Amino acid sequence: MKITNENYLVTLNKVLDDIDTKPHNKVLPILELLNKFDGKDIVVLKALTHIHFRRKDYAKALHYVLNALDIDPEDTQALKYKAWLYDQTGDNKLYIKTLEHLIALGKADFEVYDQYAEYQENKGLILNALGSYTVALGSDENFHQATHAAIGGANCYSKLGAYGIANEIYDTVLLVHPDDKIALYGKAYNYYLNNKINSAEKICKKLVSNHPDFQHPKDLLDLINKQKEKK
Amino acid sequence: MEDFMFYDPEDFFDRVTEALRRGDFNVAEKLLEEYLKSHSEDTQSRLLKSLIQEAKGDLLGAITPLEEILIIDNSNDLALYSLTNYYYMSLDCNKAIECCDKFIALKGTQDSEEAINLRKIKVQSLYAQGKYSDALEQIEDLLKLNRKDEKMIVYKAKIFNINGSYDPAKKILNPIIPAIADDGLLGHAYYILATSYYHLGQTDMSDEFLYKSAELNDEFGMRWLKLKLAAEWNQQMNQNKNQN
Repeated sequence: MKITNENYLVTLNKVLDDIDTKPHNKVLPILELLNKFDGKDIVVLKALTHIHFRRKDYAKALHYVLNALDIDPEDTQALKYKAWLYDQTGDNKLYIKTLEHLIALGKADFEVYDQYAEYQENKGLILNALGSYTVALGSDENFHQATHAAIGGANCYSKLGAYGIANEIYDTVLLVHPDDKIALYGKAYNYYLNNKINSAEKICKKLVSNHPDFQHPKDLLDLINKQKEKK
Repeated sequence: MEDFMFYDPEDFFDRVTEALRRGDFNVAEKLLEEYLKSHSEDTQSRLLKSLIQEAKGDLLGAITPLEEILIIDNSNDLALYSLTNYYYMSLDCNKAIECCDKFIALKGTQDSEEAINLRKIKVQSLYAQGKYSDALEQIEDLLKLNRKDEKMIVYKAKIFNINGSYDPAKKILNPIIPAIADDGLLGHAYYILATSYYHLGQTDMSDEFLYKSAELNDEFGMRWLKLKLAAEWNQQMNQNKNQN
């Protein structure tokens, strides 16, 4: 197949339509031809990033996303790819820097705030994390990932000793998803932190029975049992 | 650098106030820092410093100067009053309660307007910590002073819901709804009503109040609505997948 000025746009549109439905080896050669024809087309560069990201060829994905950002340094999608790539390659500093860059540009969406909140939470910046989870939830226009931000927020409240508010949020998640194991475990751990050991134990036992591969409730039960033995 | 030792304090505070009026927090902060170097025991400048940090959205930064004031003067009522608020806002509930109690002990009354404001924060702190019966006890005391206190009725209904008393929660909330002027509180009252109706099996009413709550940007109502819409969206996507 030869790319010409005449068939460029038609080919590009077709390959973009196929990108998530056809196998990589069908899509990738066409994208490479398009890129060879016009190395400055940011749409093609981002599509190549997407394909290589999915193939877990992170070095190539990073090569293309950096080229895309040379063309438009503020392209939201490219910056998000860059962040996720750094996350995948374990380059935590650059990952966080990229998230912060997106936030500073005012281009952060639900995913960015949610991931940034997780970073803040892990770093012990609980109050900031709580704020970011709330912003994440507020900017989740399509409501696709609300559970993660809701549970993240509840975990932060729990870590701050606001067990009542945390419990209220876990209960809200459980109203919508009664069997959500992460919310149930969060609720159990919140009870544990609030010295309501029997309630924590009851939920953990149910979780262990319903989800035998889920390790966290087993660990919490061990902790509870050890405490009981000490007493 | 100016020598603030020889500066007329009145003029100094005028300059800080003027900078604040212009919204020039950096200049105001710099002036205060310099002033504090030569007036290390000054409390008024620390109060201003705290206000600036609050205006900048730095809650923890607002707390530090007030804590410093209490080291200098542990009976500073203004610092205690502000700290109760800030500690609660930063979810340091034990300290919020402690400051509230100290303020009341210092003032010798728990029925003044300021004391009542702080007692309400104490209720919110106790609720946040999950100490529901303690919170309820405080609420009943406050309702004896003002049986129409909307915020306390809202919190009472929240605790009723937690205890599974959905019908009583609904019954105490519904009559006060028209009187609530504060949108934040109204949004939260709608969310609590939505919870009561949901558990009573009246899902249409629950949905109606949930949407009203989210429209008023109540964090809890918005969270629930988004979770609900996400679940519905995922369900729809799965149905579409199965059909294909």
